[in-house]
Formats: sequence, structure tokens, C-alpha cells
Amino acid sequence: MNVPITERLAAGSEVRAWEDTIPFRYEYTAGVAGEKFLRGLRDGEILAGLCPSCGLTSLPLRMYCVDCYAEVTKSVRVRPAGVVRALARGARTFAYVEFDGVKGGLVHTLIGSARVGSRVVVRFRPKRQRVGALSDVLGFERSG
Amino acid sequence: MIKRRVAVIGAGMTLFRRRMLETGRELSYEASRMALEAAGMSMKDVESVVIGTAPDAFDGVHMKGEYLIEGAGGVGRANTRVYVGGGTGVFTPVGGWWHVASGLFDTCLVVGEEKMSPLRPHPQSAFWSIFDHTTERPLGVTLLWIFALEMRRYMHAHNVTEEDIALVAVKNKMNALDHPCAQIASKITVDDVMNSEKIVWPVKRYDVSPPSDGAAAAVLVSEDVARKFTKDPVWIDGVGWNVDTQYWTNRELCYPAYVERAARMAYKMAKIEDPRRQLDFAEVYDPFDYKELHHMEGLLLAKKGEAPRLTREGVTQRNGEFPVNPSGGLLGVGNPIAAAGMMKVCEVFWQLRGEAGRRQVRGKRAERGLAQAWGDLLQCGTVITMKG
Ligand SMILES: [Zn+2]
Repeated sequence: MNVPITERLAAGSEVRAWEDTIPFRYEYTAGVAGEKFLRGLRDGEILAGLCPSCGLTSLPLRMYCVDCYAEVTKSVRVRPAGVVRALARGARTFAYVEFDGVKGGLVHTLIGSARVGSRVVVRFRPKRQRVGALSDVLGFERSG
Repeated sequence: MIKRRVAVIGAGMTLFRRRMLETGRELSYEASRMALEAAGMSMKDVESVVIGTAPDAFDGVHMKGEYLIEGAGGVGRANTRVYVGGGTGVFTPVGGWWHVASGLFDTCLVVGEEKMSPLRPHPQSAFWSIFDHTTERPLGVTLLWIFALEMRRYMHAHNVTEEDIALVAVKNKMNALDHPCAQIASKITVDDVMNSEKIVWPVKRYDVSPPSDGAAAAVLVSEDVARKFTKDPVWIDGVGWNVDTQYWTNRELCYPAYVERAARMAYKMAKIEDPRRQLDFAEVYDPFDYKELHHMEGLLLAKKGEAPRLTREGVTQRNGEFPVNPSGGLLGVGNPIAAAGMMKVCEVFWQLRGEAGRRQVRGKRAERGLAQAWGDLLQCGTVITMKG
């Protein structure tokens, strides 16, 4: 009977095997839209794209409209208060939050407790500590 | 067998640069939008999308096809990613061709993208992991090392000098001076190539194309749709591709037989019996200068060992009897892998439409041209022939 060799191995030492790695290191750019979005975070703002063609406001900020493919150069400040649509609880709790009048949303850490459907606000780091990264946002916190 | 004729009605590309701010999605978007605008189309008119992009390791995003999809316009459409290493750029429109030729779709947007700059310290390191982990990787080989072996073998087989090969780099970098997207266009001499840094002899710095960020795209349509949007379609009349074993040691390195097999497939479809006479020019894959010569022979545009002489005699100059790489090629325009092959297809389109400006071969509109790419581990040829 033909049994694959790996299934017949009782011990790794029965065949010659070795460990190796594929070491890759990266330096990413956020892109034209991403750069704008990150600068917004540094300034304590959530920026969404506003499509000049179909009027869609969407997150995350992109160079193009996800619905009609028009070029999006305009961004609008989103009121930093939204609704929890989903939660994942583990060592940290992550919340997926949508904002009023905006297609799409953001995932970030939940601060404190909330339920699906709870209204939350975006908590930013103190201004001095912001660097223009996703970590400028501490997370979402229940409002009211 | 083939059901329908397929036309190209628009093409576009981004700048090719060492490091762009744009993400891969944004590059794909810019090229796609330009191609659609050139075709007089909007995304609503597009039924299917084929994305070509080389190893995920470059952009540093696994499942790059899925990652690029919204920039390339594939969201909510019949979207496919194709991949045959460096051959991907020309394989992408081949994929688009079968979408339309089969009758399955009337329109297909084809997009080639590569963003190589994220990988540090150099994109070459991505290639280290493509080698066989038992017979080659323990040696710490790189692609440059293997190209040096192939170049040396070609030089030995046909008694070709390094200076002969350098002429290709001189020509292509010069041609690229007329390309508005070019990354490393320049006027250099054979001495400059000879005196450039030795990387792995006989490969020197100027023998090699640079790593780049960029994207290029084209709109492929059925004959009926072509007639609606343009009076001036360019037809894809032949496609071919062929892949050999990854054991590059199992073939004669001085001749790319897999390129010949791919070319013969395309020539048969296009009813080309004498490619040198029936084609007006060719965009031949030139990531290294010797590869242009190697590929000219594989494409049957020169006899074995004859390409260096044709180059020396000026036959392959833009105003020569058979121009090769009038765009400036990868050596001059740049080499964002899948976008680079796609750039060649765009160049053939622009040459056949008379839209290549100062790059126009022999100063006039060409009637018939070819684009070719090559990839995987010295094992794959992809070919497309087009006519006005
Ligand atoms: Zn829109």
C-alpha cells in the first residue's frame, strides 16, 4: 500500500529534514488617500471620501469611489460618533463601528463595555502623542 | 475553435518609478482609469477584469489579486488574477483575450501592477525563495547569479562579447528618453555599461533593469463593442504561452525553446510564417540586455546567434529595418514586473494607432507588432501579436 512517507514517520529523525526561513522585511506607504487619512488621525479627525459623481461618503478613505469608480479627491470630516455593528471578545475586544451617513466603517479596540447597537465615540490619544498612525486612535468608548 | 475577434480600444499607464507614494491599488486605479478614458468607456461598460501581478512578496500583501481588486475595478465583476512570474505582464491580456474570444464576455479590463519598493532592503531578496529548497537554496543563490550563468552560456555558444550585449542597454535607455513614463532613460555608451559595477560577472549594473513601482492597463472588447466605441480598433490576432520545467538545469541555456513554442502558437493563430517580414517591430522582454538578444532568437526574429549582429548593424534601432523595444523597454522605462510586460502591450497598441509620438517606429504608424514577456524560473514565454 502506498502511504505518504510523512504519515509513516514515527520520528523526524527517520528522514533528513531541516529548518529554514523566508526573511522578508517591508516598508509600506499609505498611498495618496491613506496619507490624507493618517494626517486626519493626527489632527484628531476621521476623514471619509466624498464621491463627486454619485455623492457616496465612504470609509476607509480611498482614491476612487467603491460604487461608481470615479476619482475621489475630496474628503469630509466624519462626526466621530457611531454605532457598534459587531464585537469580537478575546484578550482585547474589537468593535466594528459605522458612522452616520457613511458607507463602510472602522474596526478598533473597544474601551470599556458596549453591546451591538450601542452608540460609541472615537477616543484619540492626546494630541502630543499622535504620530499619524492607526494607533492615534485609542478605540471606541460608549457614549451617554 | 476561436469564436470571436478581440480588439484593444484603449490603454493607459502610470509613471514607472523606484518608489511611488501610491499604493498598488492606487496605481492600478490610475492606469485603469486612463485606459477606460482612452477607450471612451466608463467602468459601467466593463463586464470582466483580469489582474496580472507577480509574487505577493513584492508588494508585501498576500493574496495580491484580491487586494488590488477595487483599484483595478474588479469589485462585483468576474475578476481573475493570472500569474506566470515575469511572463505575467503579457499573459494578462492573453487572459483578457480568452475572456472575450470565448464569447463569455464582451468587455474585459486587463491590469498589470507591481509595487516592488516596499520590500527591503532590495526586491531581489524575494527571488531567493523561488529556488528548489533541496538543490539550490542551500547555496544562497540569487536570480542574478542564475542570469549570469545564462548570459555566459549564451556568450559562449555564439561567441558574443559583453560589448555586443551592452549595445542593447545603450539603445533601450536612449529610446526611453522619448517615453513620458520612463524611470531610467539616459544617453550612455558601451563604455559606461562596461565600467558599471560588476554584480555577478558577466552581469554588470547597466546590463540590468531597475526595480520599479507602476501599473499599466488596457481595454479588450468584442468586435461589436469595438465598432461602437472606435473607428480605430487594434486587433489581437495571435496569443501564445508555454511553460517549461522549473529545473532550468534540464535545458540548453543559450536558447529559450519555451519562448519559441509560445511564439509558434501565436504565429500559427495569426497566420505569420515569416515573423521578421510580416511584423513591423517587436517589444521583446528585456529585464537584462542579453535577454533581448536571447528572446529575439526564441521569437524567430533572428537566427540563433544572429541577434548581436543585427543589433550591431542598427537593424533593431527605432528607425532600423526591424525596431526592437522602441518604447525603451524594461532597461529604459523600468521594470515593475507585471506592469512592465503590460507596458509593452500598451506600446504595441500606441504604435499601431499612430499614438506613440516621437517613439513611432520609422516615424510612421506601424501595421503589425508583437509583445513578449518571460518569467518563472527561466521557464515561461508569453507572446501576443497585434495588428491595426
Ligand atoms: Zn461614486
